[in-house]
Amino acid sequence: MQEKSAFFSKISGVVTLDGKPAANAKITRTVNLNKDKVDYTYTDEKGYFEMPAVFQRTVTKFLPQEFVAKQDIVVQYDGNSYDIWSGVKRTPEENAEARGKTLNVQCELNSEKSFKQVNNSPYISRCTWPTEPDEIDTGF
Amino acid sequence: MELKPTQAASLAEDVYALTKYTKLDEAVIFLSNKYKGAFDFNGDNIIKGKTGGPGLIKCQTAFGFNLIGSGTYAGHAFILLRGTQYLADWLTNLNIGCSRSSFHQLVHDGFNTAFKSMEQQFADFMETSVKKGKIHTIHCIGHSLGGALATLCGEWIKAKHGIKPYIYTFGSPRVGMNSFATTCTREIGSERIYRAYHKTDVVPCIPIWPYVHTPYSGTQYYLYSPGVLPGAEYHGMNHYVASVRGKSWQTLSALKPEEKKRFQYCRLAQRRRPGRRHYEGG
Repeated sequence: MQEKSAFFSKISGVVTLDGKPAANAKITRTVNLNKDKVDYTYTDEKGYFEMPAVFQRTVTKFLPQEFVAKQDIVVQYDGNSYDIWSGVKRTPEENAEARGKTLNVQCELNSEKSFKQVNNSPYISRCTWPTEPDEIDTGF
Repeated sequence: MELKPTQAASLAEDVYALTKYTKLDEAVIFLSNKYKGAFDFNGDNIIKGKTGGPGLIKCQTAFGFNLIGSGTYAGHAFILLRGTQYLADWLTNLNIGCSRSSFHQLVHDGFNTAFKSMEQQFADFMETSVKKGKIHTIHCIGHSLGGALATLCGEWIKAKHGIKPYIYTFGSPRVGMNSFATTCTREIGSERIYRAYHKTDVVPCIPIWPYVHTPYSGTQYYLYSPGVLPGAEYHGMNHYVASVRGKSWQTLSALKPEEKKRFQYCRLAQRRRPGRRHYEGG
């Protein structure tokens, strides 16, 4: 039995450096469950980019599996490299990153990394998006 | 002092994501956002260069995470172990597979081999962080295969270091034979072993007899889950997190009377899917 899982949902956004659009920046996206799958695109003159969802078929066995997909995005701009997105997607549903909406991000390359957990999936990122984060209760 | 169910379940859940964060700064951001001041990231507590990642325990890929407590949890060490999407692969070795644990008892060879491949890393952690760090309490925590590994790790800590750790498992398969379960329970004490499982989680039903659960006596933490037959869905760590949220071990142990029923479900499942075929899925 196979099912289609979203390893990284469709993403679009604007990349800036010190508030100014980062044009022609190379956006490299890596998703990993058991092995890496890499794709890339470039921002336009307004710093805008978009990338389609990455689906992969996962085999459903009689014995259960945890869904643990690592997501990374690195931006190369002006001779520098910025890791802007490091997430661990814990549910196979499409658009889980933004609670069912399309993921639309605003990424400032010179910002600090921040933490946000959505649908039980932790994202460490230099991007912001309007989704409400999970309420976290670890008991500590 | 033992951990609360919510705490143990959160750590068993988060080790899946933590082992994917191979950069130190990201692991620290993750832990400090979710656990506030509970862990100490100073000095070399978290960095174990030899194994490549921050505090990572590796077995082919990262399999676990060591942490040292801080503040309220100063003096506590945490060993977190995750399960695998290849649980079926470990279990298919089971029909003939049996080997000796740290107390020389018979255990499932697949679990034991996985544990042995990480043993040196546990030894290093004990030497560098635990012995020098005034650690008085060790918590071994895991879900699924990680629960089996946490049990073996707890037994190893007692056998090699004479320390009685706490062991917390969620949806753990059966680790060893009767002699292992009784020895491990006697050496560590059933009051320090917290085994939580859902009625309809299939994994605690395997490997089938003669394997038995640890602890052999004492309290087991049976959790209600909907449905009749054991299956894959209620093995998910997210369901365990939800089932124990805000509850105490005492509340969870009160659910025990239904225990007998669960064994009937397990037997039924085994009758329906005889032999090893069902471990291979598909």
